[in-house]
Amino acid sequence: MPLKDTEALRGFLTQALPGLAIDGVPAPSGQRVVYFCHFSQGPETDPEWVGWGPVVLKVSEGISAQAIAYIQREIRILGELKAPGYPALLYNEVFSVDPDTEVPLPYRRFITLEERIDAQPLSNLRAQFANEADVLRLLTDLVRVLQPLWGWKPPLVHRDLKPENILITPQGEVVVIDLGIVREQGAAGETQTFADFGPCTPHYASPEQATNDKRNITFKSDLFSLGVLCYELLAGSNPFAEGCKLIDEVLARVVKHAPLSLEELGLCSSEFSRVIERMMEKEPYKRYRRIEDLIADLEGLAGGV
Amino acid sequence: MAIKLFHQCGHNAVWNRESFVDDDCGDGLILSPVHQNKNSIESLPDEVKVSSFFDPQFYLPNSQKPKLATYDFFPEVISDGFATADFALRALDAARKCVDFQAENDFCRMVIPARHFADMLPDYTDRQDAYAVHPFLQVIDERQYEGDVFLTVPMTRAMVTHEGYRSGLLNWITSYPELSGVYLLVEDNRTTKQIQDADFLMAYMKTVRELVDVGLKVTVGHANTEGLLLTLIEGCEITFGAYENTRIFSIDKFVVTDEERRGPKARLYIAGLLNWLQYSQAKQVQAEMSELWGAVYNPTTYGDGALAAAREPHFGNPSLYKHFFLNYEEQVRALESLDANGRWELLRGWLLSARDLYDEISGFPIDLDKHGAGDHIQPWLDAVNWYKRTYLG
Repeated sequence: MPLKDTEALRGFLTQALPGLAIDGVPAPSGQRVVYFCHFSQGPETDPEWVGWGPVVLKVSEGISAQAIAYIQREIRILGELKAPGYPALLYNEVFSVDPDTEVPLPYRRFITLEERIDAQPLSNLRAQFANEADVLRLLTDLVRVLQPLWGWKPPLVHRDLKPENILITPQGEVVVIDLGIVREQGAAGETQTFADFGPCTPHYASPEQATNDKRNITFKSDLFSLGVLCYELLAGSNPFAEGCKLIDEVLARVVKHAPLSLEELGLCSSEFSRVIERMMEKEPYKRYRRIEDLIADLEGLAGGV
Repeated sequence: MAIKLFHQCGHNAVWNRESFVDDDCGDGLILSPVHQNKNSIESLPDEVKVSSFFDPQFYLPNSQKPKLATYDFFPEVISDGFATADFALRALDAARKCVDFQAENDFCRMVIPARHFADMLPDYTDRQDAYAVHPFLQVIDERQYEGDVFLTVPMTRAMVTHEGYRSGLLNWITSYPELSGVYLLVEDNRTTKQIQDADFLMAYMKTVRELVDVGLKVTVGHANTEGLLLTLIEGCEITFGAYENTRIFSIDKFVVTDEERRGPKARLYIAGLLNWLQYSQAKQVQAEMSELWGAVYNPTTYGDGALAAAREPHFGNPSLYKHFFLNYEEQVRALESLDANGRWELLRGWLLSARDLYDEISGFPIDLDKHGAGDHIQPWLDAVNWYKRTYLG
């Protein structure tokens, strides 16, 4: 039974986190329940929490201790990253006992709090990115924000880049959120190896994610997702989801279907189309091997636009 | 575009060094710890070191070859008897010592070693990662090494020809943006000295081309004279060596103990035939087909000296190899001056000419032995023409 926003859950959270005030619920986010919150001053409230201002609270349930430890490790790494373009991760805790009754919970609950950014998700702002120059600028900004993640030692992979996970501030800056399934490149991972596909959003998944080919999930998987995102912004529809009703169909098309290029669709210059095609190559080795090369191509294009 | 040509050092690496230094032949040396002890490499002149690189040769980690034992980072040495499970604890230490050795000697690039696997293991890349790639990259990062970093990639014929497996390896290699290039070794257990299988040759060329296409420099180690064909791939660096075990990669050289005594027959490189002829048969052609000899033999003082000897030279006579080095370099430099289409035209011309000359020798008749005969020419023509159609338009 997936976790849902219920009065009981809200009660649990306010008991667990003294001073918590729930302000609203954004769009559903995968297996987790997400709230917009802040902390009010009170006798039991940690003053530091009040100072955080508006926060995003995410709660998930039923995750194994091993998986939580894995996520906590990623949170620690992201904390060390200290790069612009990501919300600050403020807090994470596991609750295995009901704080009110002190009865053990049937499932562990894992709570994270992160800085709430004053921004809109890209999914709400598609109309602002409907021509080559705007998409090129967006892509360049995204690559620059993600570069420290990909260049971390060991490298990290976001694995779920999609319009809902990209925020645009009123000043036009990009912020990447939902680092919940960030994975260390080369790490064994937590999904079962026999699962059909790994953690991802199928519409933006790379072929190696679609086939759960963990060995090949690298920063190049994120490049594929960014390519799809740019394609979708310019074409107005997802290159793989057209006419598909089932997730399996989308994933099968991610692996096999070669969409018409943006150039063939008359939607951008041949140069930009080639960059997107290279990012969306089915075989990872045919995508950009070095981020510096991609940035050089994007800067070259920006000079010509 | 320049073509780098490295000496693949082996037994008597001093010949390679003399050829490089005294004859100004080749662009540098690939140093071979199985043949050169640590002191001999450390004592090379600085000007040789900066043009050369060191192949750590971790291919067979428990090799008992004595010269490898002079390197304290070799897996068998550092583990005091290699065992895969124990080496996991030693891999980082080995990487530190090996990286420092390469950096301190100021070689022209850093080489990450690899283990040789004869089988197409499903976890080939995981094993290579644990064995050397991850520890070496960690140390290279710690040491802030700024030179080119090359990854050794040993492949078998089966790995090269199996498209899916090859793609898997390419995906793995390209997942490391820290790499500047690949030191590629292709093991082909065949019964002929020259490659005579056009399909394999095409897959081989395709592999190199795919690596170059993703922006990697590629040095093809242990290349035989098929290296000339690889010059069609701009950005590919090739190698040449003296004894056959420097021109055909085999893991055997890390176990064989008496190769010096089991030497093959002496052979002389004949540039116009793109092959090595048995010395005695070369002498027959020289004596009885003087006009053809003039067309196929490219004279050097070394070759002339060997041919003038009263007795057939031993296969360990350096003149045979120094003649080859000079002839081969001349061929490479002729190709180097051209663009890819020009190289194809020149190579095709050489191959067509060699085919005619072989026919003439056969019709004379002199029946060359199976390794000196021209059975490689047609497959090579097929491969260069395929490359032209596929990549050069």
